[in-house]
Amino acid sequence: MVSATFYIFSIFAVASLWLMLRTKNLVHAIAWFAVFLIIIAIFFGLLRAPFLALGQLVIFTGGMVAILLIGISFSGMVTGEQITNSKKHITGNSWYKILSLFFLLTLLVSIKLFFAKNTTELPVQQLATQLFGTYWPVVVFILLMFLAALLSAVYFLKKDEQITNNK
Amino acid sequence: MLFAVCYLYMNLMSYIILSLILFTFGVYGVLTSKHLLKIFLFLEVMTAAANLLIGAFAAYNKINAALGQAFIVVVWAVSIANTVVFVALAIYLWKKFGTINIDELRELKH
Repeated sequence: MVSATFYIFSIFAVASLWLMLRTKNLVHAIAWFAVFLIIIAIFFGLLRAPFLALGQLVIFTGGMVAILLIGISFSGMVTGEQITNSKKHITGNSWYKILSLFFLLTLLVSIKLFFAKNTTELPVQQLATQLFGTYWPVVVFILLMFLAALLSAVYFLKKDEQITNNK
Repeated sequence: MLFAVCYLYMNLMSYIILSLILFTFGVYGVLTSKHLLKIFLFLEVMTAAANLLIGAFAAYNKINAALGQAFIVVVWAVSIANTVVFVALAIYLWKKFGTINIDELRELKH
């Protein structure tokens, strides 16, 4: 199960975290965080868990990174000019080549996993049975937690609006 | 049989070691970063490292592998709820104090 792919992507994971730690720009940190999340999705693919790999890509690399970027850009923490400069910086130096290599490797691994026979040792049906059959109270609890999180977010933003109006 | 056990052990050990390295990076990032959102990113790195460890154990557990994956889905849900609250809190602090540097926020408290 552990192959050369595992070691190559381990190095990429550690490198992306190191770059995330070193960078001063918040947009760069989020970009390297997205790369790290893609690598974690590949590891789930290598562990023969395609459902988790897809979930990781859709929920985290898509959803969470988008929430973070929209949040920081709309609140004014990072201006449009800084985002444009970040884009120039990322695409303008040698890191662009390393990122290209990473995405090429990701594509090759994805193709290999897609065409490999018996990749799903665990049917998604079993997972659904666990979630919606055995542990359905946990799912209900998760839904309530989502509701609480959304209400808290609305509360904070309303409070922020009140402060702005008082000023 | 012994070879199979050793092979399985080595494979699992690789994932355990990688998860520990990633988790250590996360802890180091949380302890050294000054930016509130960067601290949050490293908290998510720690969560991802823990998820990878659970995923590896679930993959090598042939009796009930779905349980581990279901647990990871629950952790995802907690993590996303956490993100929503954290981003809203960061925006609130930014609008109120004009900074999300934790050292400056600590000074504002006094």
